[in-house]
Amino acid sequence: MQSSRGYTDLLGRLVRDPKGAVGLGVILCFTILPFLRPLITKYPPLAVGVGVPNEPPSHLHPMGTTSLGQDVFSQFLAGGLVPVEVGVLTGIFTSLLVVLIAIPAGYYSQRLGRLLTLITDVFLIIPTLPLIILIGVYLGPSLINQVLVLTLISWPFPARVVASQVLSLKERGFVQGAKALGASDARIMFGEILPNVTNLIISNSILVIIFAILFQTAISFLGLGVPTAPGWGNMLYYAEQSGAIASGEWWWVVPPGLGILAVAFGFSLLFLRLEELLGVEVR
Amino acid sequence: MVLNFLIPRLMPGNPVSRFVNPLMSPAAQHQILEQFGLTKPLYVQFLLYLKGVFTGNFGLSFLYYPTPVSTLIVQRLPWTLFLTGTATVLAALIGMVLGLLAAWKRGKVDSAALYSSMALRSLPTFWLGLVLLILFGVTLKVFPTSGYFSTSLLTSGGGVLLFIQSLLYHSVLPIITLMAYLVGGNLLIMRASTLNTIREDYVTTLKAFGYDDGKIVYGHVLKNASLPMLTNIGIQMGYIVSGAVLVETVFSYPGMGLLVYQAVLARDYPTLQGSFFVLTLTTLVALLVVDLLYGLLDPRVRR
Repeated sequence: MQSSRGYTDLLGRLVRDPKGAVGLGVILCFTILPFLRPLITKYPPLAVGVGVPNEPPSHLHPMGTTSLGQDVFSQFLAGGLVPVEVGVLTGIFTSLLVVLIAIPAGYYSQRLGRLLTLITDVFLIIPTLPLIILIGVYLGPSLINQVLVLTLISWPFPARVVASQVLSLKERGFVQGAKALGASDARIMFGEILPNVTNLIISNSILVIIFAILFQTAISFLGLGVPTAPGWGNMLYYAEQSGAIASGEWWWVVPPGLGILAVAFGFSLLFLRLEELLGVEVR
Repeated sequence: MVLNFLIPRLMPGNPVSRFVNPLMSPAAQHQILEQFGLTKPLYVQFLLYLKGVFTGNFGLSFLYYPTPVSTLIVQRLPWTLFLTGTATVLAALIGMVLGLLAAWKRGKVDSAALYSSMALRSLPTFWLGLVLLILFGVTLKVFPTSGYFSTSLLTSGGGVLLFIQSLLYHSVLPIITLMAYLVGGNLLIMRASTLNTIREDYVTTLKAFGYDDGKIVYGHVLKNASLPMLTNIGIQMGYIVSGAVLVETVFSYPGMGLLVYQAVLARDYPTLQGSFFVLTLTTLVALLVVDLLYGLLDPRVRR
């Protein structure tokens, strides 16, 4: 069992390793940059006509301009917040759902556990992206709705893993002991079992974050995101819509993708390091 | 199946707004709605849908009116199967060989493989497609930027061989794009399972008998270590369909993915229902094939 002090200590050990330090560094960097943007460049990300349209990179505009004469560099700096925000919120919501669903499911009955397995099997077969698009269109375009859709899609897998872990923990001595002492079910589930699956839930939530970031940008790229949110996915959507691909305007297309790659890779590094530290095998 | 019916109907926006002109008389508007069966109560619509599923009749597409949805699917499905099938098989083979090498060689090769496969899995699929398009399609002009064969072949005639050549040529970039993510995942799984396999006693025994590495790896380790990867291919199915939507949109490749995307934008219920049903069915069949292959490779599960 780990106390809160244990987790502060964990953060220290996390960044002492190059993998953890680089991963966390990259993520924090792209989360803070949107706020530092006004200090770095004088052009607001959505301001139209600050430069000549469709201009390759120059010293005035280090990443060139869009077809509306917007500054790509400014958009790139601002664009990391939306995917990271949606990703992290999805990770948190999914973890909460997993705690509320998987622990009781694993604790109370094998049948509920089997139901979870069935749900994950169904989710394996249903075409993921079309489903996300459909529910997303139904809910309407807003960032919180994107979080809800992505949570709805991603909770069954970690839930299945956690429920099966709970099922085996249930038979262990300390749970049986607590039961013999007359502890309530809620006390056993959240006081005894939860601390023992926290590591598993945390490392799974990182995988969910990576998934959510990639899918958030994909939905936005398809033009089904939030049109006004300054994210990397939207940048790519507008680039494609205004024919940047056909005219070979690489400076508009390359930066946002590299940003997504960097952030997702950052979370993967973090995941790798966490796996070493927490000693959990997720897959 | 029930989900398939309900989800498109819950979407906002009126599907027939593209056919119904507000200036039309209410009677004329009603007539069009009736033609599509949208005036009937919801449960009648559902029963008709159920009947359609079992008879392969999904109704007429709103978007490509009056083409039946089943005709659209029959036209589009082969291209998606071609793209995804080729990508899946190639990605499995490449991931298998690279993962095996990474685990066998250890050290620098291994960590290089580990980090590059992680990077491949962090790469947004559609963006990779866009970059490949700009680089090879627009700047270098080596590969075509859209479609699935040269339409000039239709007018000039050309032989079957030329046609096939054109097909392959148009599918190179989409397949590479789809493969990138899959190779990353396969490599990781194959590496882990090879590491487990080479620790087994029979490998040590073979080494002790003086068999050379190549014979041990390709004759014995490969087959046993590739079992978990086969399972992984089954898990990848959901991604492959999602990937197909993105890749087909980027490359304007006329498969099921593009059809679904266009149908969503146009609120084309019948096409969405039909496509969802067929995609789900295809995934099920693919999973069955994976299971059968598993039995073929591992006699222990046959029993």
